[in-house]
Amino acid sequence: MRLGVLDVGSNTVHLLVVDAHPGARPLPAHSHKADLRLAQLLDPAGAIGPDGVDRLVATVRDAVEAAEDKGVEEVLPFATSAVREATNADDVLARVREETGVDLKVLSGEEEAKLTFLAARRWFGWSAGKLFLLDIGGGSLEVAYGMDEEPDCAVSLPLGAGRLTAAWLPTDPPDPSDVKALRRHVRAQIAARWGSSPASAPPTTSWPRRRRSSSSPASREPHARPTVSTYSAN
Amino acid sequence: MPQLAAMTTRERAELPGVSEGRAGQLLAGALVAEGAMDLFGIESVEICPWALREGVILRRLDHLPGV
Repeated sequence: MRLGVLDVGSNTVHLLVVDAHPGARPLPAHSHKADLRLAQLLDPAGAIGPDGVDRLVATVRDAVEAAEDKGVEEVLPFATSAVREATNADDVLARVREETGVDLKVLSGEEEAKLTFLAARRWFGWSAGKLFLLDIGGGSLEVAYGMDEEPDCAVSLPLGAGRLTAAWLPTDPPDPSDVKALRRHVRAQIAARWGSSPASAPPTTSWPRRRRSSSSPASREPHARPTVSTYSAN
Repeated sequence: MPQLAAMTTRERAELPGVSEGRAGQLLAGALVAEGAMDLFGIESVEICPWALREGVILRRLDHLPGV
């Protein structure tokens, strides 16, 4: 069957059409991207302004039409960080529903990290052993790790590249003191999340030691395989 | 990183693999990648072509009745 995913992200609204069957790998058939930059259209109170909502509605309508044109049977519409954290998320979702018929599902940060981890696990396979996933999006950073398809830990932090740029790096080129302040903020956020709850902390000191070069015979053993899925890779 | 931090958005857009739309966010993204790698003790990474959208599709397919 031909499936569509409509991803309302912090940078783009992306319709991905795939030919998908149970047991087969999904084959991309069509991809349509609109640069909406929702994360940057937030007003000072953290709401998506009227202009942003209008553009979102129009973009979703276009995407639904494109999906129909391509013969998509079912569209899976979801939204991530930008809508999730908008103070007027309920109003935005209601307007999209009323004007396009699309019921956007807002993924929690944890769901987002889990689903991305599932994709990385299916891509690299079981032989990759322990996976450590970082996904740097426009609005959030997802971190997940584990041996299985369901990660042992799945966390989302508000450290997306678009969000941070808008909040911390107002000039071009950036002011060195702003860069330093952002560097400190990023590291403090990550350290605070993992430093305070040792039970869920990854075995940081053992990652490098457990990694082995692929030529060594020991590489067949499960090893930690850090995986980065960046916002620009897709 | 110091080199990247000194560049303008326009200059970053000239780098291989950097799109115009994302050039402005490149430095912040790099600071996050570097910070996470340092703090988690990760020395190298592999880029995964699949991410959230594929995860949503895979999860949906898992719940379809088999053939």
